[in-house]
Amino acid sequence: MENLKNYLFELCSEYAPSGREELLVSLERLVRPMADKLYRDRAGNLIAVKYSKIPGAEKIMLDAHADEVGLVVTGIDERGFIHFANHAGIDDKILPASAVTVLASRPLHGVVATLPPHLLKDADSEKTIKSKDMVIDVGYDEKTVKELVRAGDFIALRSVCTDLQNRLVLGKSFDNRASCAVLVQVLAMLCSVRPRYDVYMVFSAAEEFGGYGAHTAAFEIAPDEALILDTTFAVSPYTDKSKGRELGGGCAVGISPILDTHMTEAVIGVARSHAIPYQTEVMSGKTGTDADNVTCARDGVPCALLSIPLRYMHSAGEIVSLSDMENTVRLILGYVEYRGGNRIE
Amino acid sequence: MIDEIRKLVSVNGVSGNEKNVCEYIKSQIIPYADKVYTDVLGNLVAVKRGGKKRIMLMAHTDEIGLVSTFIDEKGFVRAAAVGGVSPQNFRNCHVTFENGVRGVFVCEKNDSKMQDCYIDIGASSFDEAVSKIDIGMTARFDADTFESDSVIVSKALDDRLGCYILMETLKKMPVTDNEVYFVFTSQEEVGLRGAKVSGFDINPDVAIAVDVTVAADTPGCDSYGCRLHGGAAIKIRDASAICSASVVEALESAAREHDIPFQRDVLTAGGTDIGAVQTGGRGALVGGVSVAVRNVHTVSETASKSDIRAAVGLLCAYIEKEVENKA
Repeated sequence: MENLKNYLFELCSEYAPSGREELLVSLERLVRPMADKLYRDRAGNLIAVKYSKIPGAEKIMLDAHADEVGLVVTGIDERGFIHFANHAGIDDKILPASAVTVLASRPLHGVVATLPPHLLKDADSEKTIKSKDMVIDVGYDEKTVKELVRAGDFIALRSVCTDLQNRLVLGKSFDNRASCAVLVQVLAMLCSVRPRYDVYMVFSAAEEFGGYGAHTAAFEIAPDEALILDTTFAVSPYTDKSKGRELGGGCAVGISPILDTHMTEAVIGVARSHAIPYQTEVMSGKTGTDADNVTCARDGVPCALLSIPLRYMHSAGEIVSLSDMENTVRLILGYVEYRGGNRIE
Repeated sequence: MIDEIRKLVSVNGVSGNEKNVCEYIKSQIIPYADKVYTDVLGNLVAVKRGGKKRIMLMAHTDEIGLVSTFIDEKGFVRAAAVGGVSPQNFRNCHVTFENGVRGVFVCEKNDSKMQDCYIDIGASSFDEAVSKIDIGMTARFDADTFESDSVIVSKALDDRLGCYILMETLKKMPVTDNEVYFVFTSQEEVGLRGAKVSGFDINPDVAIAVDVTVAADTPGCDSYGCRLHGGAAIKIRDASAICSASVVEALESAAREHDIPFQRDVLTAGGTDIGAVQTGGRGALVGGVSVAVRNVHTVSETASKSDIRAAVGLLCAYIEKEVENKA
């Protein structure tokens, strides 16, 4: 799995805010040589199919959303500063001084403008600024900005992927490129095994916007089962074990009323029998992932949820563990290869 | 233009009770469509037969309003909001119940919530009120419709204006290889409900919502957005949907080719019918053509005549084009 980190870093070097998933060109390039069939549907989902050699095999949908959180340009002022609003998933509080990329007629790097502490009045330093009162500075004058940027252009957070200690990595959009990289690795390894399922990998659109991509893909594919991959909150300086999963403790198997109990048990069974580290994450209802929609597609799709622990979600400084990602690959491969066939009722 | 719009807004069509609006529209469009039908949820659909690609144009027939919930011992009527009613925006407005009984919507206080508002129908007793209206009856807000040289001011432009634009587009229907569905949707203001089933039923390649958007060009409005007389508003996103890049591109190039003024619409709050079509069933490519309106969700919604004409022109120009089936 020596390529896994490269896959992740490559996928995170591009920007694809919700609704503009086609900008993730590297994903298509990585997957194309490995898939039996590859297509992008009208929702913007990229779908890679690997057929089973077993006749009459059931269909499994492996879903990881490809989009990332982002902002949207609302206007440009007379000084050439870009005004914006939240598009999907970004908390105003993390924005001041953030490096961003405006996906204009060509990508423009910029920064969310801030006032230096020297110039702040005491009362102002206490205030939280709203995104409608912030602007992005890309360095150009009004005329040039207006030539390049239009209302409705999307904006992404910008950062460079970095190795930390202890097999942890730091970067932006690990939610959910970590899962996309895991699926690319799974696809690479599926080439040398005999999957028990026809595997439909859905790199889905707009999960951060409500998830129309996975919803319509599940309708179109009509899978017998779906395994949803996403990220979840890891234990951080501000959360303890009651609120987060351990980084490096393996992927979190979701347990929730909306998820399929048999499928979830089977996933855990595979983890145990293959001695793959895992943890559990209990939710009382909706999971905040594509599973919420996929379960209700057509006449219902049994879903299990695997989440990679991640710190500082929806920021440019997300942290995941490469070993968690590797264990997620092993777990998915184990499930696809060994369970399969008839559903256990 | 003003006469047709006046007729459209004068019909009571509070969400769930759009029948009369549909009947009126149907009577006007029958000669122009190949097929007209109504579905279970009250969507009115007019079909213009064509080639393989299906374009679905949607405008909602319902308007926000009130529904009576309780009549007190003195004959005052309490009501609940149907759709996005901010009580302060309708203070002392005239209302008309679906059976024609009229009244005044009154807020008890300056900051009244719906439970502190009532409708005064002029009844002198509980018995008189009960003899006039039933619990569960809807009431619409009333106001005069008028025009200046450049604008139209009316109640319920959201979204009878869209209905008008669809009707005009159908009447002017250009020659095209596409099959076009003109859908007058129900229950938009209470959760995009008509569009959801109609989208599933029609399964279009492209769905386009024709609705009003917020004009952000008035005093005290501190955000960027669309303006009156800025041309047809081509939607990029709203809170319910992200428009397909290919549809935005096709609409913009259609506008340029026909010299139709347009502006980009980036709406941060509020949704449209395409939100339901994008998520339902197989989904569809989605886009939006809107008219910027001042004072949305009041009885004084204000729209530009040139923007309305631009929207009709843009839809005609778009449906002529070949539909590109990519996100």
